[in-house]
Amino acid sequence: MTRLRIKMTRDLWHMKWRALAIILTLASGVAVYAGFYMGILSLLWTRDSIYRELHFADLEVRFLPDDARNLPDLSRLDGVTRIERRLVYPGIVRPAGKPPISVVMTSLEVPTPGIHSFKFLAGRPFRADELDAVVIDASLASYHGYRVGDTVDIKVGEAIYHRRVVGVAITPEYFVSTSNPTYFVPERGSLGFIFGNLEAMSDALGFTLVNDLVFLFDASADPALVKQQVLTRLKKLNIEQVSPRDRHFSYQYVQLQLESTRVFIPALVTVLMALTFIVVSINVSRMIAVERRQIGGLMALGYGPRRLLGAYLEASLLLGLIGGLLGIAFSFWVRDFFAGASARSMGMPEVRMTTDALTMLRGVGYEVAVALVATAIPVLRLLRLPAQQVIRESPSPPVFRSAPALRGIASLVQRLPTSYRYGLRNLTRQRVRTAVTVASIALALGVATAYRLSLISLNSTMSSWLENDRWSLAVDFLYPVLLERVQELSMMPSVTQTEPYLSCYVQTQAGGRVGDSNLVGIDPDARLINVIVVEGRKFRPGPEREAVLTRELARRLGVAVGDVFQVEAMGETYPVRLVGLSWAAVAGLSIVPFAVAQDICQFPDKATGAYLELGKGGGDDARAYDLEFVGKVLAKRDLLTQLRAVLSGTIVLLDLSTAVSLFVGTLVILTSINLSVLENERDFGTLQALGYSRRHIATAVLTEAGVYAAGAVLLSIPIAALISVYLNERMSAAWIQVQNTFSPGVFAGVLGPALVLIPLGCYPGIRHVVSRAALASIRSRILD
Amino acid sequence: MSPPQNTLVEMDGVAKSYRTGDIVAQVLRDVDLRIARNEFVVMFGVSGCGKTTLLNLIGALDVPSAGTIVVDGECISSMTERARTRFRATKVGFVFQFYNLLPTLTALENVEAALEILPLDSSEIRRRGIHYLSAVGMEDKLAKFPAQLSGGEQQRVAIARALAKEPPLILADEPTGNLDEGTGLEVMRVMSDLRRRTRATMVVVTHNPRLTTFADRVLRIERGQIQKTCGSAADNP
Repeated sequence: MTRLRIKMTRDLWHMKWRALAIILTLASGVAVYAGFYMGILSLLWTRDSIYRELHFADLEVRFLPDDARNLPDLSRLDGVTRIERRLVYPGIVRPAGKPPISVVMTSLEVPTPGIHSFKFLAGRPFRADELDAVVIDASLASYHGYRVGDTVDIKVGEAIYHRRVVGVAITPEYFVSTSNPTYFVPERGSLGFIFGNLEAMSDALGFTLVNDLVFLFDASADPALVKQQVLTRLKKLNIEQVSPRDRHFSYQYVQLQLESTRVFIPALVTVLMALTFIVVSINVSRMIAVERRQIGGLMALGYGPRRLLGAYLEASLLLGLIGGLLGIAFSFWVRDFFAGASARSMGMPEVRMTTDALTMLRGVGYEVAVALVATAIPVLRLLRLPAQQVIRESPSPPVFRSAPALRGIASLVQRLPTSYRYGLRNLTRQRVRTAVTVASIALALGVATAYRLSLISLNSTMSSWLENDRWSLAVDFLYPVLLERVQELSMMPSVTQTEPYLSCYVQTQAGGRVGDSNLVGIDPDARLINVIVVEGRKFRPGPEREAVLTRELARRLGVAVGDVFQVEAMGETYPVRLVGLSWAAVAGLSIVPFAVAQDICQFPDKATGAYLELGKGGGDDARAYDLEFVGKVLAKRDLLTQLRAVLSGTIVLLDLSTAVSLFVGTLVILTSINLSVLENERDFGTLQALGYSRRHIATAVLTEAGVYAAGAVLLSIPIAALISVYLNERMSAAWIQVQNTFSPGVFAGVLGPALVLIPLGCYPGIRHVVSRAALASIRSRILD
Repeated sequence: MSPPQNTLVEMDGVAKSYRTGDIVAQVLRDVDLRIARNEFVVMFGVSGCGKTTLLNLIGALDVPSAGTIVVDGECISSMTERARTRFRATKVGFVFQFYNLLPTLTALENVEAALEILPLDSSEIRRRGIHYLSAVGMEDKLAKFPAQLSGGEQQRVAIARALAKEPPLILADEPTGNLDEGTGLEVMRVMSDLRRRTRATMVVVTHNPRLTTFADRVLRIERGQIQKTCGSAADNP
């Protein structure tokens, strides 16, 4: 080992506590970067690996039930490796002592499907000859207590089927399940999924009734081309819905959740890197200021700038690598914590943790690079001077001068006791360091606050959106129902108003681009539901074919307000004018006047659902299930509760980022205060010699820390607001139009603890200075 | 036996050693010393002889390894840290070689900082601050910060700070060590003149033989012991 290396190693050992602060700052950055990104990778890997293992369908086509013998010939479809036929229909289960649960019954041709396969948690598949046996989805077991051996009574229309539960399984189809397809919010356990034997239905009917086809594609096939080929073959069917893999709720929901999380992470990582830069830069500057004469001496001995720079960079690299390794160790905890909490909030039944070496290396690489740059800049600034100047010119202590602009404050400070005055003026003496310290802590706090603000904005946006709608219950029908029958809902107690809606699957086209869409028709003068138009206008009553599209659908089609696009349904094509863009919690909606939807969907005088308004005091939601055409009843209050539950799951990300911000903020204070204490040790010794007590000295140090904390807290408020607006804009572009909400409670929740915790960072500095005898402080020449 | 009333400092059998790892350095050995009130004592000796250590012990900045030190009737060698702090606040004024002014306080504020911890009202603090700075010829530089003053001016402020408390004892450690010869002598003349006017006892540590001319008594220190005294000894063993 060269003598220079030995010197650097010993110097590092001398400044071991500050080296530890650098290491911990670096480790925080690496842990957050690698932990969050590996968490996201774990969740995506869980989804994708389960989908692959359990053969998630590449395409699902739902149509009006038909005899299997009437299905078009589906042989020799290029790129299709497997097709399965199913009968999917809604039902109701009434667990004892609980409200009814909507269930989706899926009758299978084979006990162990090759598409949307089962992973059994308990029991077994039903046998081909067991007509009364069913397999239930895991959520029905975990949220409603059904077990293998139980009997479940399923009401389908007027009929009730008694079925034996023989197995409990996870299926990729319902990996994350929605409460209602109109709302993009998973509602754990609100829907039950039951898989039975198609033979049982065929036995009763005398023929095989199916309404659902699932397809697996060849891995090398182009999914869009294969889908078009399939739809061309199926065009004679009354298609209700086409769901490619990436439009499936559970696939899309996981993707969307993680994409929105990805919006937050770069800001947090950037702030941590900035803090790393600041902490390293402050410490290296201090180190070379103390070693200035030594460096000059080495230059005089013939050590060149490259060799000296190399020595400091080596030291920085060493700290970076130690910090990186520590960060990698912490990143596993961050990953498990983040992925676990996210999975719970999304309702994913399991998480498969992934370790990605490239992500970890990237995290270490970024942090080390930042540390090296932060080291090189102050060292190079010194090394460009001639050796003689480096030796002779000891850094002159900064001259204190009160800024003319701050005269008022200066005269106020003048009236304070010496301890406070000394602490405050020390801050103005080291203006750059004070500004950098305050700004860096403010940045850390600002980001943590901004995350919370953004989440609250999202919550309040969705809540106010739902609250502005006057409907209390959204009722989905099992099949299109005549409008006069819809009025039966109005006879329910407490129902004050009913507004029907009609939805069906359509394909939209414009300029060669095609998009799957759910066409929803509502009364143009509807009072119970609002269409939120962010550009253009809402459609007008009348025969004009006008539509409001969700923004992402318009983007997919490449159409703007005023353009005409084509809607294809039931083999017919209709030109429709785009009059407005909307945001909705669910993607791919084409919202049109009710009459237009009846025309396009070819269901005159029918509706597929209705919004109900209940009078004061509400009513019994379960009563709606008494009507045989009712498939699913969604109460708005339950949706709001669920929405808040989902958002509260995201809180863990925020708690983690807040904790990291507070931790790093405290480290920055610790570094700055320690440096200040070391630089002013002689002043403290003088004060002690003059008779100032330890309390006075501690007051001076605490004044500095208090100003850092208060300044950072104040500055973090506009920073948080700006970042929150930015995050909300990103969220609005990616998903829904988030309205900015600046809740004082959120500021208080992050900044309050910061005001208390961050000044604690000055404790080691206070301890150091008050534990030293005045004499030692006056004569102090030590490095750390 | 109670000490004579005109004795301010009494040191009996005082020793001081420092331990650095396994090495013990005996800096002072068996020092007995009496300093009278209103006396101007110069401690003279080469670097490392122990004179600054002796000064620090008298000023309660340090504690002896053995022996007793009584200053103005208070036994400072057995005091708690808190009591020593109080003692320094009321009984001692320090003048350091490197002035040790607080860089963020003006000249006037530096002097007032020494008074602020005494039970004085703010008008008295201001009066004394201006008075003593005027006494050292700094009345036109009250609002200057240390970095805006020359070395001699800074030392004048430090002297004003030490005297403003009107303590019975003023201790100066190489007060001219950082100044050129002319400025150093001028500073010593100011100190000597003010001491006479305030009737304070002054102990100055120096290795500059020219400063001994200001002294009532000169103590020569060699290898941790007082070797020789000259001048008007008050009560020297």
